[in-house]
Amino acid sequence: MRKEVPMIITALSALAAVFGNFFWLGHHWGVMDLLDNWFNRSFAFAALIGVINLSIIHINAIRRRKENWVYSLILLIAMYGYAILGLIQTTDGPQASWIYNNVLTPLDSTVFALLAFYITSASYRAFRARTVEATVLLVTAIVVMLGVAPIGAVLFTDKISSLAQWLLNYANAGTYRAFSIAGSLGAMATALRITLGLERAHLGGAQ
Amino acid sequence: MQGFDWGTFVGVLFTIAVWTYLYKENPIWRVAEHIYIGLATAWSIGYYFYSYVKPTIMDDILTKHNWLYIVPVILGLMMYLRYFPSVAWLARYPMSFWVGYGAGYGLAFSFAPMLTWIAQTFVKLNSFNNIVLWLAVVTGLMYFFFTVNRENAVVKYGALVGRYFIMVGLGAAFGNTVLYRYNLFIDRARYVLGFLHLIK
Amino acid sequence: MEALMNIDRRWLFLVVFVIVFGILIHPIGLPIVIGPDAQKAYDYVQGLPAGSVVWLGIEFNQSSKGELLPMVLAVANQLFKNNDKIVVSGMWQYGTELVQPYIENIAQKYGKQYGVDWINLGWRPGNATFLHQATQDLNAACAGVDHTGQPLSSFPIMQSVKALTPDYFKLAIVFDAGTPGLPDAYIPIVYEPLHLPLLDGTIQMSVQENKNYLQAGQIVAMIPGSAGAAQYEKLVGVPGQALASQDPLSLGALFVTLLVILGNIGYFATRGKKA
Repeated sequence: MRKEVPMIITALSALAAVFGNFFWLGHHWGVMDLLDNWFNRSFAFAALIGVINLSIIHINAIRRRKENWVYSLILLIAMYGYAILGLIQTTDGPQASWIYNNVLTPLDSTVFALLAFYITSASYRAFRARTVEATVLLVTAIVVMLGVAPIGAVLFTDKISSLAQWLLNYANAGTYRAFSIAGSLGAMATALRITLGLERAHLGGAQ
Repeated sequence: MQGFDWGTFVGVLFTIAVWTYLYKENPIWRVAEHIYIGLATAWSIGYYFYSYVKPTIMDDILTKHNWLYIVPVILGLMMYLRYFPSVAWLARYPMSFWVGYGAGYGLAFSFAPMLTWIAQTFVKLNSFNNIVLWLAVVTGLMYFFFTVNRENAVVKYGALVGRYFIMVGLGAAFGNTVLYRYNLFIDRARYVLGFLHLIK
Repeated sequence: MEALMNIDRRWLFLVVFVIVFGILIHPIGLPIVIGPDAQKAYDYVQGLPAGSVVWLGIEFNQSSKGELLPMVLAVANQLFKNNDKIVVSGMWQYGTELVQPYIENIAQKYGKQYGVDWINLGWRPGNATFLHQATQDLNAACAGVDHTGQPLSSFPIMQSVKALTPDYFKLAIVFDAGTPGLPDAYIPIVYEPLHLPLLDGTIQMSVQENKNYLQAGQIVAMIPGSAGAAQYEKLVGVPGQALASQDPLSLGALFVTLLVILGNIGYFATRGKKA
């Protein structure tokens, strides 16, 4: 019941998708319509998992007065306050959308934008023409950067833009096709291993 | 202070709070970080409630008596059993469905795009560009041939050429990533300058 | 030279701040040349018969807003100007809510009415499974409601749009920042079985990967990154954030190039000394 049934569910669910997509009868019976529906809606009913997990961690930190417990308190207030607000007035409500637009959006976009600084620092410290291969990589990166940004055409005529386009359209596109083919084969092999019960990481955790 | 844009003011404060991290880790950044995690986790609760939970229960089950919709409700709720040690193993059931169905999607839908890529590689080798594209795909794949003996001259030299093509691909990725990251920062800089009325 | 190599990275951060803020306040107005990709994308959308229904897949969130939001706005302007209808949806949490107020403004500018000329079906979880369900039955995929929980049956546009298929849509424009997005969902589920034309508005970071799909014909055209968005704004005639970003973007690229060159000069100089 504990290991076998989940393995059977895994295999049957995977086979149902294959049956639903590749077989006429699967289409006719609307196998995937039904399972898509179950799949998409079931997430909504498990949505509190994230809130509960964070609550357990941070309530513990507050109760034990761990170092920096005040931040845990701030997190919990923000989380519960915003969740309750969203439930009362929908996420589109006046206060909920105010928080979304003026707190969540600036925070999210600024955190991700921090990487501009680290990539600048990495370019200076780690990007070295140590070998011929590394030199090819480095030169391509510079041609693409200056070929895509308008300044390249101003400094080096539009030849650099054409070169960047050519690299992207042919040498690079072909390389990424090789990556994609290799990636697809890998993904299918992993999917097959999951279906056959050889890959069982998702059954780990609680015993 | 009528007409003062309090919303953007708050947004600018949070933007600067995140930037302080660039100097060093500090309490302002940590407050911003924890508010961010709290809000990001909470947002989906209200959204899920109105876009799935309520219509599924109120409309589909209670009004239209579409009883099959009880299955996703039970599947979702079973996830909470992981907090009760004696029955925690039952939470594997919905997880198995999600992982299994996801794997099934991989099996069902990965073939067709891959076949298109392979088919589109059979180009006429009548131009320099086509030859480059073809070479990039074939030698790039040779680089990933780990099951073939590398002593074979075709595979050996093919993989060597493939390595240079891969460097071109990775170089393009690096150049593009720099531009992408800068653009995200420019977006934030424009936000702050716009609030200060320093740009239009 | 050693000291230069070991410079505190915060000085570099400061230079980035000065460059970007400085050039935004005092732009130099570098010329924007329309590239072949943006032109092709623009021409494709222009070529749609008036009144076409177009799917806007908002497959990004705040993290890629700087690149993709200006693109969405330029495209929405073009579609409404051409009297096309828009269905917004997406698999990325936050995405559809992020674009909602902006599209609402553009719709007002062209006198377009929500529920009649456009609709926002909201963010839907499930990734590829949502998209697959959308190709079968949009109403079921969205649990019968739009992004605010209003019943879809109350919106006239939904009477003529039943599924994400070529029967109802002329084009799907995917604004794509990664996974879920083009290669894992739209190409295998929408393009391959149904041959609904896909147009890709992509972040610069995915351009190199998505060129493969363009070359293979799985997407009809591509708007590549911020530079592509700037060209698109110019083509549509709605100058916005992407055009304004090209000067600082250029100087940023130049600065990183100089750093790479300086870093290598330093590396070879100090390596020689160490040897």
